[in-house]
Formats: sequence, structure tokens, C-alpha cells
Amino acid sequence: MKEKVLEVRDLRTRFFTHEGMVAAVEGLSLQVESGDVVGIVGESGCGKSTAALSFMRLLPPQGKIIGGEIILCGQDVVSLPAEQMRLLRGPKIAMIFQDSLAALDPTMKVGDQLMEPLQIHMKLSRADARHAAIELLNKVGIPSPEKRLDAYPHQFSGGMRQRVMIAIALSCNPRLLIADEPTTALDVTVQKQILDLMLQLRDELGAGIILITHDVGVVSEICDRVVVMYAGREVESGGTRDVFLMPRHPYTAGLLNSSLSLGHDRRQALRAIPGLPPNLIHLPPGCPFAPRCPRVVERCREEMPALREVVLGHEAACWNMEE
Amino acid sequence: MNQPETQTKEQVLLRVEGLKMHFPGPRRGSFPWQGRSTIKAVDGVDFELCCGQTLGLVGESGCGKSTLARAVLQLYRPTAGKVIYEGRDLCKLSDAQLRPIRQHAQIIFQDPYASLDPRRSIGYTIAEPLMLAGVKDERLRRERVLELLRLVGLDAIVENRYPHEFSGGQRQRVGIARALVTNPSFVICDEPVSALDVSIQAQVINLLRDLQVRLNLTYLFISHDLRVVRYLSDQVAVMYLGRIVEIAPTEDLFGNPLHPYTRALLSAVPRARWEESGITRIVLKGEVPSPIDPPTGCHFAPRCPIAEAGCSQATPPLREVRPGHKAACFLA
Repeated sequence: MKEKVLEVRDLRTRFFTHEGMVAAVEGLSLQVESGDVVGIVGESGCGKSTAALSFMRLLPPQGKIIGGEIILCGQDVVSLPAEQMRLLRGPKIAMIFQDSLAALDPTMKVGDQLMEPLQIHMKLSRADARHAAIELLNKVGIPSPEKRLDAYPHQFSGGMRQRVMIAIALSCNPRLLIADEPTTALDVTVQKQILDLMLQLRDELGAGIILITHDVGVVSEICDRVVVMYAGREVESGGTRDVFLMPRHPYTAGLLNSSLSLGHDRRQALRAIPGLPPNLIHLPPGCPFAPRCPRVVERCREEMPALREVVLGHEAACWNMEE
Repeated sequence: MNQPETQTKEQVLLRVEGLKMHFPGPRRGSFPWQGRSTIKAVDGVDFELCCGQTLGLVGESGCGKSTLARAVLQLYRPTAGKVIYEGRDLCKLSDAQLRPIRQHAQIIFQDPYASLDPRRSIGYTIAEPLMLAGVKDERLRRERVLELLRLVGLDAIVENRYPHEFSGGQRQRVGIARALVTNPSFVICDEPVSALDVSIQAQVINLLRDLQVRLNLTYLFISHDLRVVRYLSDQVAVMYLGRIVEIAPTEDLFGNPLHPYTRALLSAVPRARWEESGITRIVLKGEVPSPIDPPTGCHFAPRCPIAEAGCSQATPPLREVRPGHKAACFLA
């Protein structure tokens, strides 16, 4: 029986900086059910990490959610007091970050970092928490976990630290796991191990996963559904296969054309997207992709297209869609 | 260019023989007589590179790809071996003798943020190799800088700007312009697109390919991304812990990989679930061991899915298994 673990409706997040207001996320909607893997894909600065931090309510002080709903396991968390939100982080929602060296506390033993959420959220005694921590490290594939519990993060390799972070994130059996570029800093063979581990744990725990990445290859490999973001906006979403085989938005098509795969014809030049992503402070009116878009029409520069459903479950925001 | 190798159809521009680059490692113990260990970053590498061709070099982090690149350019002085460039062994030349050769052999670095001097204008950064090459006429230098900016697709206005005003992709274009300003024939590209976003990565890949044809450049292209290496290279070498384990023309290497490590790397490349790949998945256990005191025999044996008892006894030589296709595996 699938349950809806996260529902986001029309999320809008802003950053208030010295240079002006940044529309980091503008109207993002998505749904995650237990057992689902949903990908959020886009380039740096497109708002994918800001979206994740909004779900976690971990935005930096200059960031603010100014609209929309984030319903986590049936509860709207947008205006939840910080104290109550803290109780949800761990048992309901957890996150894995890209840079494991920065995300773990360098002055604290890995074991203590693992036991902390167990003691606070699961109310385990220190001895029980230690047992549970050993079990968790074992589950994520760290050899001789009893010994490694007393090691510090710098004593682990990148892949092993990423496993520790997964263990911490999973310690309180969250219903939703957000992974923000979990394998970007890792080598391919280790990336494969970590992705497999995440899928295996999803099957065991039945949690939903949001995977944030810039690599369309990774999305096509493990995600059931995908949301494509550009300049803070959701430009296309749907089943991964539908979106990648039949992209409707020109940005999605451009992103796929720019990505190499092992099957790419070597004699053919890559069809790169010309130009650069826009500055989010001075966004032009209309569609933010218009200046780089090969299918641009008059209307694109004046009016922002809304998302509309192309086929069931597949949406795109474009005035001049590929049919 | 008069070289003895002119009888072959394609001229060999660079030949590397038995190249070793060892560094002093951490102390073995706290007593002075226990001595230091040795980090064998590059441990006996041979390859040949022909004019106008691209050799791709792949491997995971720490396998010695970047060290190899620096040792080839004599940015590190190799511990042993030969680097024969246009018929001369670079390892035997003094720094002063190397200087004119450096104009012909350049490098593009991975990190477009760290490799540009933040206090120098773009124009100065690109012109600096010309100053070192002894071009004294300022007008001539400026003309060349403007020509290069055009060549890499940047506007002439950027000449007076500073690196912080640019995005990663634009900075990488500056790095490419700087590498090409002395009109080199050989360029080492050390992960030039790894730090860039997908759409920008595609632009830079196209630029590198386009420049190669227009200027008849020879590339040594280093990357950990097999998809990029496959796309750009004529020949590919796979490195593992300081050694080349397989080297072959691109189509052969990707179509018919012989070394189990190459197969594992290929099978780890993300691919769509709905695509039938035909490649059986090999998931390697563990990670690349440390190059300090690496395993004896075949370095890959401890992680190898098909290793036999003999593999950790002796080091398999890089031998020609099929014409032009070499692999260092007893079982290939």
C-alpha cells in the first residue's frame, strides 16, 4: 500500500541578498509516494538544492519560503514552528549532502554522530544506540563497524563517508530521503555502489527518495519520475522514460542532447545549448529559457508559460512545445 | 619537424617509455631508521601518440593520471623512463633547454577557478606565455590575444576584465586560449570539462574538437568520465594504480574490453533502465587501494572478480592480445 509522503504545491522560495531578491524557486509542485524515486535534474543555480532545503526547512537566514505548501506525511510544514520541525527531521524526513566532509562534524567520532539522532528521536539508551549504530554501519556496507565507530570522519575515504551519511540519514527510518548530488564527488565504480545501496534500502524501508542531480544518466538509471528545473522553475515533469524519450520542453531536449552517453555517435558534433543560464536577480519577463531557446516565438519573451499536461502525468511549460 | 620516424604513415609526436614518478611518502614508523615509504604514483607507463590524434586517459581518482600528465611535461621530473617528444628525450633536458619546447606543449587544467590568477586581467593572463616566449612587441601580443579570444568564442571586450566576472565555462575558454596562445602542437587536457555544467560541458567539448581540426592539435585527454573520453579520443588508455592496464583504439576498447577493470568501469557508467546494454553488470567491491605499498602482483587482483591465485604473485605485462589492443591481464 503506497502512501503519499510528500506533496509540494506551488512552492516559492526567495533569497534576499544585497544585490536584490533572487527567485530561487518559483512554483514547484511535486509528489512522492513511499517506494518512489523522484529525480530533480537541472544545472547549477537552477534551484534544485534550494528546493530540497525548503522541504527540510533548513534554508539559510536570507532564504524564505514566501508561498506554497509542503505537506510532509499529511502535515503542512511551511509555517511549522522550528521546535516541531526539528522533531520531524530524522523520523519523517532526512537528507544526504553532496560534500560528506563538510556535512559531518570533523571533531566528533562517527559513532557519536550516528548515535545522536537515535538517542534524541528514538529515545534509546547510550548502549542500545551503540548497538543500533553498529547495525546501521553494517547495513550500509562498512567493514568491521565496531572499530569504525570510534574513528573520525577524516579517517574514512569519500565513498565510506558517504555511506556513513546515509547511515545517519536512515537511522530513524525516515519516510522521505532527500539525496542532494550524493555521488557527484565520487568515482564511477563507487557511485554505482552508493546508488545500488540507496535502492536496496528503499526496498527494505519503503521510504520515498528524492534524488537531486545534474547527471541525466543517473536519473535515467534509477528514477521513476523526474522534474526538470531551469532558473528556479519547473519546466517539465513526468515519468522518466516519457520525459527522456519524448521531451516536450526545448530545455529538456537540449539537456539530453548535451549529455554524452556510451551510445553517442562519435562523428557527430554535440548539439550544445548556446549561451548561459540567466541571472536570477534580473530575470527578463516571459520564459527564462527564451534567450537560449531554438523554438522561441514572440509570446515567449512576454509571458511565462504555465505548466500544462501533455499526456497523463507528463507536464511541460512551453508555448511552442514539441508535439 | 624532421624526425627519424617519418617512415611511418602517421608521425609519432610523443613516445613515453617506462615512465616512473615516485614521491617520498609518509614515514614507516617513528624511528629515523625505519625510513620513508614510497608513493608510486606512476609506475612504468609506455605509450605512443601520433600527430593530430587524441589519446584518452581514464581511471579513478588517485590512479596517477594527472601525475602522468605533469611528468610528461616535466612539471615534475620523472624518477625513471623516457619522454621522447619530437625525437628528443625531455627528461634529459635542463630547464633552460625545456623552455622553447614548453611553447609547443601546453596544458589545460581542470579547475577553471584555481588556474587563473585572480589579480590579473584576462588579457594579461592570456598574453603571459607570449612574454615568457620572448615576444617583446606589445602590439603584437595584444593582436594575438584578440585573435585567441575570437578563436575560443569570447568577446574582445573581456580582455580587460578579471576572472571573478566570469562563469566556469567562460573561464575554461580563457584557460584554453592561454594554452593555445603560443601556437602549440601538443596540448594536455587535464579534466577540462569535469567542473562544468552539462550544457556548458557540451559547448567546451565542441570547442576542443573544433580547435583540434582547425589547428591540427594533438591531445592527451584526461578524464574520469568514460562517456567524454569515448567521444573525443582516437585511442584510450585505462590506468589503475599508476599503471596502464589496457590501451586500444576507442572502438575496440569500448566494443570489446579485455581487462576486467575496464569491463567493471564500463558497466558502472550510468545508463537508462529501458536500454538493453548487453553488458553484464560487474559491481566492484571496495575502493582503489592506496598507491603507498600497493598490492603485489597485479594491482587489481584484490578487487578483481575473476582473479586467480597466480595474479597476486607476478605482475602481468602489458601485452598485445589483438593487433593494436594491449591489456595487462594474465586471463585476457
